[in-house]
Amino acid sequence: MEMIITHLIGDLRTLKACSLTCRSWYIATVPHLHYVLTLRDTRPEKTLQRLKPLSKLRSPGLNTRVKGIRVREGPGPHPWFVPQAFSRSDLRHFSAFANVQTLVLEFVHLYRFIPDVERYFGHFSQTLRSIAMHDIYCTPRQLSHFLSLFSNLDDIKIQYVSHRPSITAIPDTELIPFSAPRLQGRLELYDFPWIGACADLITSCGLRFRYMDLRRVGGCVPILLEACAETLETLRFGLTEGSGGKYFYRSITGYDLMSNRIPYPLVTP
Amino acid sequence: MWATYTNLTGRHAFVREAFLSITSPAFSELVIVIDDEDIPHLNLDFTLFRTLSTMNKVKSFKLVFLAEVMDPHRDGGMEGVLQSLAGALGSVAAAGWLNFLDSPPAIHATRLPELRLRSTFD
Repeated sequence: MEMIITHLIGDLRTLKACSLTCRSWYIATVPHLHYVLTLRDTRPEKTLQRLKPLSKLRSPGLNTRVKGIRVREGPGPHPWFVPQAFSRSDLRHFSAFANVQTLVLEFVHLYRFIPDVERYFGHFSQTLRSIAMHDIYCTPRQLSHFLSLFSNLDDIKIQYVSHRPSITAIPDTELIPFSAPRLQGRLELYDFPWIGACADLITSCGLRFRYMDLRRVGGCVPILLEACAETLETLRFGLTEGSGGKYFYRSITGYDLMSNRIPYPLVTP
Repeated sequence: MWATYTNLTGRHAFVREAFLSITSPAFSELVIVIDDEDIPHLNLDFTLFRTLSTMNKVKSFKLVFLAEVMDPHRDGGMEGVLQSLAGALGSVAAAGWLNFLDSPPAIHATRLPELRLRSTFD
């Protein structure tokens, strides 16, 4: 039975059917069924009810089985995953996920959680190992401030970021890192041109990645190579990115072929 | 050894400088990712391999070419993409541009997820 279940990991529909077979099958499938919790926009007209399903998970004690949380915002202008959506009980339920190791945020307006990120995400600070973000809205400093919250974070994956002017109560310059995360695993950046954010991460957290996958990251590459110089094992980069190879030098070094300009001075050891 | 590079300027010297910064004894693999749609008109010119040769002299590594396939069911599928890439690299090898490597480059193909981040859980 365990072998069958193992083969079905990822196929939620079949796993749900298996869980209805009998109690032993239910017990075998339930860890996989609740491994990832996805919060997504299903009722766009009622912002404050989005987090209500969290209370259903709490009652049977299933929240301890959740190892990953994915927040799926839409690309629209009216986000639902915002601090205002958390009532006191919603926040209590959300904070009950004590074993989350992976967090995925899609289209989340991160800047709205500044400066209270610790209030909403602080319970992940010790357990989180991996974070993936797609189309996040924030400033470079807010991003590094947020990432510094997770002291055991090893892997970071970011695809697209949208700069938002700092409109929070605390100016960016006053955002102090919470900790220096481990950052010893994988760094994957796609369309990430923020040299400032990389510099912030290097300064506040230190980087010790062993694996880097860098695509269309502009001038970030040299400083990332330099920061991970002693730990890097594998470097992966895009040769063509649909451009027939002409972006090679920009991709690998940040060297701008068009302007013949080197964007960041390298210090040779 | 480095006297070879003293006359290098601009981008070539910059590539060397970037790789000189890597001091990790564990650094061993350089993976070049190519979109499968670019393979038919791939511009694998000598400049690229001269740069890779420079990199390899600075820090020896295993070279891997990885094709990211958008639609594995199209045309020849993954096998077709692999054959196309192998063909493109075959002509490069015939020209002697890969002679700087200790072993031939590895060639792999992988499916490009619809959204790269979705692969975190899917």
